[in-house]
Amino acid sequence: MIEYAIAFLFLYLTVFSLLVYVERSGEKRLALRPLRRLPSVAVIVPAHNEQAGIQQSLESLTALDYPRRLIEITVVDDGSTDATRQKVLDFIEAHKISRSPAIRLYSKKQGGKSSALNYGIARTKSEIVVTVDADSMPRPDSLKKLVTAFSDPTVAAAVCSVHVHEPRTAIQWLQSVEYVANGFIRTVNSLIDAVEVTPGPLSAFRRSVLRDVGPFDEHTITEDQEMALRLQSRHYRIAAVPSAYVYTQAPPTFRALLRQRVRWIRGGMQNLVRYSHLLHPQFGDFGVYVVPAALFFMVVLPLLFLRFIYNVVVQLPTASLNLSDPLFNLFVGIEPVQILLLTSMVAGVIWLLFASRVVSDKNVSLGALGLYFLVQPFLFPLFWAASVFEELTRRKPSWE
Amino acid sequence: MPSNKKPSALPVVEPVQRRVSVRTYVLAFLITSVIFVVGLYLGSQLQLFKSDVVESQLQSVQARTAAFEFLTAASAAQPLSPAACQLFAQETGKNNPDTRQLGKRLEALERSSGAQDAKVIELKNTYFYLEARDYYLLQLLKNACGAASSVRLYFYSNTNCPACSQAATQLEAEAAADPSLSIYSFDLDYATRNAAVRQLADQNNVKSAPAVIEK
Repeated sequence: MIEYAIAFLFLYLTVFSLLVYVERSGEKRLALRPLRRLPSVAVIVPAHNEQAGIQQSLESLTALDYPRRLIEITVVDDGSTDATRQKVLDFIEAHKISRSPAIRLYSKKQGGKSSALNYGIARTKSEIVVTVDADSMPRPDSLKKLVTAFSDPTVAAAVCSVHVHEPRTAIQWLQSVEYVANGFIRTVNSLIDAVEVTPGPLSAFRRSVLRDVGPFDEHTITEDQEMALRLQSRHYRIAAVPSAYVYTQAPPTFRALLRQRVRWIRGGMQNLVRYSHLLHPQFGDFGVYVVPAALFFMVVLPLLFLRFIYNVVVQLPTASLNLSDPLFNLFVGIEPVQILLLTSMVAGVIWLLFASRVVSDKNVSLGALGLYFLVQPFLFPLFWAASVFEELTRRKPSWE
Repeated sequence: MPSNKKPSALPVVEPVQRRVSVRTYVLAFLITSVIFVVGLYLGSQLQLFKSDVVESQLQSVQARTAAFEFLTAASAAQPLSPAACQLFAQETGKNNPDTRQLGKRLEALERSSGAQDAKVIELKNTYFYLEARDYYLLQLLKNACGAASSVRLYFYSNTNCPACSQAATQLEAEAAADPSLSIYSFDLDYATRNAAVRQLADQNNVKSAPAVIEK
């Protein structure tokens, strides 16, 4: 019975998101108007031990297609123990006489990403605050596209499409598909005023709104999600601009991915508990759809996946392979519920291919897609179980 | 005093008007339900199709045995000619692997649809009559043509018989090593509803499963 319910639910979510996009994407495009003049922008880059990628990130920031006089780039070195600070200084020196925007560097004692962001925001004055991770590279046209969203007076923050920068390992290819899915979900959620996260790689905020809701929470490990939930709780709109791209370094190994995902899931659980009051119709679709869906994905789905893995593991040793009549056995083994699960999976593939056309400039490769569907159902409950274990044992989370 | 503050490039922010997209939720539910119902229908058709495939194979094996029976009736009138005995040998050679495959397919169908499925019970009943008839014919014609062949009668149970799968595996191995070996399998659970299974179990004094009788 549970398998039927899961198949129905996945199919429903697929159909719902496609329906929302088809029905509403047109009306939202009309709401955006070109700004009479561009606002001033402060780009804040928190960095902790980012010597590997900081210069590449700064290259992309100085290449942003935005008037030099209206943009200030502020790097906040959050107690790095590697050569991050020197790398930034070298970059500043090398670009001193170029026409690229000025870069300011601050160094402070390590206090976490939120504290670094708040430190940088407090020392800038621009109308728009843009947060960029130190291992992320926005496309040159991304900033202008993000800023255009603010022509709509209800938009308090704008988010982009996040993509994996040059995936090489299988783990990175898997994430490349995942990021496409997440980007489309954010785009759809934006159409129903229900965006649930302002991604660290690149997000933009009105300074007046940050003044109103307060600085980034320095006690959470997922400040990007916490800020989004806080904005939603104050009925501020977060707009997704899928054509604004940012490329980020994705964890290349399973171990690194596990560390990242445990932090995300733990932070997500903590935030859901803290903002459980958002589960209410007064918050519109955010309250009746996104929050319950998050609870389902965070609590119920992992248990179901664990049960699925358990069944596979238990049945595998006793399963007999009749190789002399393989086609018939495969055919007889197909149950009605499996047809429905297959239908949901096919719908999921179609959904992902559609999503990649909306949020990406290239199609998802079939190999990466296959990897995603085969591996993700096993990885996700594993990450969840590790997160629950760490949360229950109160292990100190790490900022990757 | 005029203000020196530069006017903002942006309009003043306004709170968003919240709404619940009830119509979209309902429409998505209806579309999903239609897809789901179609899927369920396809699934039920597949279930019917599965048993149809096995039934059709059963009928095809049955038809072959009918031709075989004709030869047997002819042998009762006068001794079989060498050509007829050769035909008998060919038919036996063809029948056994097909019957065995049919048995396995029935087994798979039973695992998929359940032992209490009405269609499965009907097909298994027919299959056991077919097997029993094939076995008796083989005995009869073995005497008429003097052909040497070895036979195993295997009685198993699908309820509470942990040793049955081991016995089946062993018999599989013997059959693979000796193509002339004929194995006839009967589910002892059917002894209360199938006369052929009852007769063979009583004839060979089979009380519990697994039981392998060499003939």
